[in-house]
Amino acid sequence: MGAEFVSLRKQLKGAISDFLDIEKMACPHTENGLVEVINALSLYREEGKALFPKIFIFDDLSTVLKILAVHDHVRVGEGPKGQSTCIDALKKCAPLAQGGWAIYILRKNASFEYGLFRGIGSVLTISIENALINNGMRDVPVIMAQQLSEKYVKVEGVSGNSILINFGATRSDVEPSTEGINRFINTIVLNVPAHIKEQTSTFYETLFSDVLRAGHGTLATVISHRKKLLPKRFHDSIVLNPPIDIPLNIQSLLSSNDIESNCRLEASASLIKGMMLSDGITIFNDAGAVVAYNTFIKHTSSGHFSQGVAGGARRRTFDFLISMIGKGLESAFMQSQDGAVLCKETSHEEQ
Amino acid sequence: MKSNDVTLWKGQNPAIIPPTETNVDNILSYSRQLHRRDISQLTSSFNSGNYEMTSSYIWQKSIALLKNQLGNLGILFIAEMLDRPDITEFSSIEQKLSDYDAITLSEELGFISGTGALRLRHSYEKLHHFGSLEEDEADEFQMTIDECIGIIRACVDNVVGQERIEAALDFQQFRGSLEEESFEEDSTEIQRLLQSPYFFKRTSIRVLISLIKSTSGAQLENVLVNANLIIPLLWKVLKKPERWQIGRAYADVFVEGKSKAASGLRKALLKVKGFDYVPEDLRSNSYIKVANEILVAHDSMQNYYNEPAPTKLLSEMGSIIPIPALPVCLTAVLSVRLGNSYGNSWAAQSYATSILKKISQDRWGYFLSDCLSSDERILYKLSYKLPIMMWCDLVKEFELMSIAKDNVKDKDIMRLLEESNSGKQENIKAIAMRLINKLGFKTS
Repeated sequence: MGAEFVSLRKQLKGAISDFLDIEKMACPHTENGLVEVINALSLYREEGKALFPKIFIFDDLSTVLKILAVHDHVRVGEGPKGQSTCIDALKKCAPLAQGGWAIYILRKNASFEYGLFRGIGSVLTISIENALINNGMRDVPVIMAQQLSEKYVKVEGVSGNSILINFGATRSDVEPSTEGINRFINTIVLNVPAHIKEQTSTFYETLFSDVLRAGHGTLATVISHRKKLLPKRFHDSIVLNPPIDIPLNIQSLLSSNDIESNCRLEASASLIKGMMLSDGITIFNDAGAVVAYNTFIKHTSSGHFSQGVAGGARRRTFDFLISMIGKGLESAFMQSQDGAVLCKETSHEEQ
Repeated sequence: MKSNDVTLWKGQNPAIIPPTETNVDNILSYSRQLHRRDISQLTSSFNSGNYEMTSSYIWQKSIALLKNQLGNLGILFIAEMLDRPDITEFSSIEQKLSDYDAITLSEELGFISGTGALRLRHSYEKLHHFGSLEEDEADEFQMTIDECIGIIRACVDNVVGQERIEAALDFQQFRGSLEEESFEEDSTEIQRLLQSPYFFKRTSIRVLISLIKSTSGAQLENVLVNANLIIPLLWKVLKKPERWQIGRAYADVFVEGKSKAASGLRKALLKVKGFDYVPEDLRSNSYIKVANEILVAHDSMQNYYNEPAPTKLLSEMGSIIPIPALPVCLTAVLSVRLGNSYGNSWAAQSYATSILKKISQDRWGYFLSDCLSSDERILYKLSYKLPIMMWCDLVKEFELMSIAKDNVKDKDIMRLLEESNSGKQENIKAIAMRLINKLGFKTS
């Protein structure tokens, strides 16, 4: 008796076909090409280094570029409609798709053109996916494929339609969710002034997305901005004095619109990312600032975490942080090494 | 009903001084916003024959009051109304807003009536002239008692004599409604807006843009719903400078990371296929800033000395002015070139001419066909003899008539250029005034 052949391809192709129909972008060449692209993206590496290119497929380059306002684009090649051109696009463009550049595949009448494009601006400038997908419009159909974290690829369209493909064999029900990240960010920006709340959220969304892709676990929590001192249990911390005040830096960039303010904000992002990828807990306040990092707490003898909780030290610490919500903490966040995200905030909604 | 009869808002402040009143003491007695000490000093200065000093003093008081009241609307609102990216939240309205801008904006928002604005503008011209005279000329040509009384009357009647100086009630309500409710196409306000002269349409677009940039939450949502109604309704009649202003606003909120505002404007631009008006770079903002520096210098009392530096700067900024900045750049350079009713800055002429020589024919065509008819600043200049003479020379030098033949559809603009080519000054003035009237401004 021969071995049972198990292939994801058939299932994926069916899902992609339905997806393209809903997005009003049905096309057999796109369907085949997208399946290949998704497969290639799932573990995309160049010379051992993980890459996370974003691939956008659309039919009107001119309108897309104008939607990005100030932009740049580089045409790399063109080929017959189909999967070989899509794979060529990925191979030739992915190593260049860094620092804000994304890959595009333009569906023309008789061919696929591909290349790179990006929006130009400051750290605060709206991202391509925000403009074309999250706040996209059905009149300008666009789909985006990207690797969220190792083994997870997401395909999204302007209709709010998406497919998450898990190439791993376990935990297929746990999405490396942007929703959990967004809920945690909402607690960070809770008391940020209204006129810069949106930009502060966007800043942290980009930051957390980078942390997610780094494939390193992280723990974070939020305290009230009214607290002048950290809770006693957090005494083993590197306290930032003064805190890294992101809203202040954002206000400064919006007011001066100069290179120095932009660099300052970029530098802050890099620093916070480093803190979140360090061991220990990163502590934010609910006015958008980072107040401490590299925080360790003793909790194993406290009995605060519930019986039967599986997982290692990070998960146990997260459970302890949850137990402190409402008693000095506003929210707790954990991202495990495999990309799964857990968040709990004062509203007690847990993913 | 004529288009000019329908207005969305109107300056409410009535004239308060009887037309027959010529006694300065009596005119000053109508002042409600001057201290007794000021009135007494003005009376004494007038009675001593210091007419320029008296008129300058009351002028400064009046303009300061107007600027202060405009400032209460918010500095960023003012920046958007004037399409001035150089004005930031930290700018001083006193420094950034010229007297000319203050009068024009006060008229547009109904702080003062059209006739009041006209009288204030005439007063400003006189003061500007006497303030710019060389020492020997100043001895020879002094302000007369009648000219001084005219200035005092204009200031008291329209500003310091009014109990309150504030935006027209209708305007305040309209602005408030834009952020508090969602209009329908058959709403009274929208119907009136569609029938109003161009200047109300332009102002409404600018108010919308300023609200899109400054509001958040539910207010922003209402503003965006209204923007998605009003922009498509007006798009066909909007002139290109206003279309570019919408496109630049989209680029601004996009770069500043205001995704909700950008998303709303994006929908409106998509409805009207207006993405061609979104600038592909932000170079135009630098040009607009320098052009506004030229205009501030042009409006200053020492304009002959202040104009050369910013005009030189603009001439050195590059050979091609980005299209979104072209209207204000040409307005600024033409203001330098045409000067005012008393002359122009000799030292700035070579820079102005070098900029004009770099303007290609298609860009001249764009300015003549899409910008000149709503450029009240240049049109006002064509009501004075010296600027008209300079304009006629310019039309011939740059062969604007032949450029216009291929580009301009507006009959009044064509006639203006024809008469300019023939040097018929009275006809030029009459056509310019007609164009200003069509915009919705008062000329008499």
